[in-house]
Amino acid sequence: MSDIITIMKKELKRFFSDKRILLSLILPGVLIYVMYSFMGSIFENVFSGNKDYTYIIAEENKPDSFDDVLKRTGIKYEIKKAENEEKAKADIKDGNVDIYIKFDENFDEKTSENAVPSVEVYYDSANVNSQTAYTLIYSALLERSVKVTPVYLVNAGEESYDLATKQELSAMMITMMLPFILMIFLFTGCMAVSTESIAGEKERGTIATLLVTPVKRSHIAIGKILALSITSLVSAVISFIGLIFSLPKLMGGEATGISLSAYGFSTYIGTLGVIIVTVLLFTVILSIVSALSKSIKEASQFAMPVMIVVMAVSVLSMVNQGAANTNWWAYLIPVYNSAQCISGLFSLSFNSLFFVITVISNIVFVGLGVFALAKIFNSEKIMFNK
Amino acid sequence: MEEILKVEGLKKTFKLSRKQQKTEKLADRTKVAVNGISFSAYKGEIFGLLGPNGAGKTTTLRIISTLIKPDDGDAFIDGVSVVKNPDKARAKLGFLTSELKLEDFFTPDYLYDYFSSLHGVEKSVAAERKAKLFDRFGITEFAHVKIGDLSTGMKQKISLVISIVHDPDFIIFDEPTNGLDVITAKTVTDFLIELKNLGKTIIISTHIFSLVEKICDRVGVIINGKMVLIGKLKELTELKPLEDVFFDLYLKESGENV
Repeated sequence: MSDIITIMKKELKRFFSDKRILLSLILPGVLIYVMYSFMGSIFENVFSGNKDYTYIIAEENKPDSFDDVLKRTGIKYEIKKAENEEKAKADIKDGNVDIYIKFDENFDEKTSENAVPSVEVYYDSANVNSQTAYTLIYSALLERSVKVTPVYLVNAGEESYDLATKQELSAMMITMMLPFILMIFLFTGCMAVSTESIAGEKERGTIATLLVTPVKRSHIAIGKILALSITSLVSAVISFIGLIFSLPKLMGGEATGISLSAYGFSTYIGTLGVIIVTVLLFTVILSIVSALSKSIKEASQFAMPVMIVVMAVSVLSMVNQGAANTNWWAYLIPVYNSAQCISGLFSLSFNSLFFVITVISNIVFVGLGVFALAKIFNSEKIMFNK
Repeated sequence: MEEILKVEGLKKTFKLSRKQQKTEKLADRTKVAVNGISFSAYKGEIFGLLGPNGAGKTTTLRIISTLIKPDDGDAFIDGVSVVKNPDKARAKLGFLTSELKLEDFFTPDYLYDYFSSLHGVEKSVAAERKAKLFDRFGITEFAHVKIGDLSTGMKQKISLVISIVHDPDFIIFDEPTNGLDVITAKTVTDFLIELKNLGKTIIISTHIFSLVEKICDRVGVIINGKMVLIGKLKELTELKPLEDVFFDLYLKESGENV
């Protein structure tokens, strides 16, 4: 036991005392938060309009009845009369005006006479603000058009026709994305430290010095895997926190009704449990890859196909709109079971049996992996063949 | 003389990849690395394994140090079989290879304590021995400097010290002075003689004749996986220098003129 602790302490010292490694563990989580929050605000601006921006609208022949239509878009705007069509179009291209709306003359009169007047909306799709203004104003005009001269009405009342609660909407959107993204971050976090560990020892020749000590091969394997798992877990938890706080922002935040308030403390504790066993599993897999490789470079190359498999298995969680699999045997499949368990936790349909199967099966796989790694340490062909 | 190491009929054949087969220019995909090697080493002697690259020296030493298993034969360290009782055998030996490159991140002090702990050396004993060895090799003032910031010679001295943290009676050095500058090489060879005088048994593998002539008591010459000559250095070099003895043998065994 003291051998395992000695090996663990040495590995942990290396990871947590080296500023570069430490930074590589913390940075992904921070970057996820910053990047997704930033991307979310861009998407929100595109789909809901930039709240800090005043859109300049040039109009021609606008009836007063359309002021209400523009207000419904929810954007800040300033209207000015267009001198003529050519000038308005030039202003759009120059960025002085975001959108130009040209109504037929006597628009309201034509409407009341059952004639079909037209509205032409000019914009510049290469300009984000112009494109956003077009998207919002076009749909507001379309809505008004249907109400004024309807062929038939669909969901034309003021009430909400979507019966999903805010919680359910949050759950669906988050469960579609979270398992896949989380699995990728967990794997890359493990990859950052695990691929180097044993292949690095082989490359430096220190593995021979380690293997001629009286320490059991299995103790070396356990010591290394525990240290790598603890390190990867730190990275995983930081990434998870960054992800969970930034995901609602990425998906539109308040505008789409996605919120973390849908989840309780138990959801996060359950997720932490799944993260721990998944990190252990990834660490074992990558340690085996590392042990089978002749160099760090080769280990990184071998880890890539494994990552593609993890991505492929995780992406299955997005099938069926994030709803978790209800077959118990599916929770025996490594990686897939973790993704499904997280789906279950965040879709508010947590099943404790599936959770237990996932945890136990992953621990069994980890045990088998440790056994395999100890065998690899005994294989001269793998450890010393150059 | 007390026999510390007894090697009996070691045989080892490696399977080769197609690439290795092409590089080695062999007819089939196997290579006999060691072919029935037997010899003994006695208390307080330095035994030199001499041979060209690829002769089987490193494979022989790796088998003795329990890193790889022989296809046939066995080696006994102080009566303990490296095949049947590798864990017990490991506690009795020290092993150093010139291929060892210590991790840049750690300090000599930390690595010494780490390997002492893995060898189960008591802390107070380890501290006392560390002070002596660090002082002997001039490591003390660099004890808390990261390995990456030290010279190649200093790194090799630290590797040497780390390989004997547990004060083994039997020590294996694979190419101990490879790549060392003349001053560090002298420090290492002087230390090997010191260890011998303390009653330690040392096996070195090398292709440097001058090193063998300077420190070895007995010599074994390995060519093409076979021990073609074993003898006391003094007796072998009575009539001609070791280099000439070796090349005569090499010509006879391999058929290649140098």
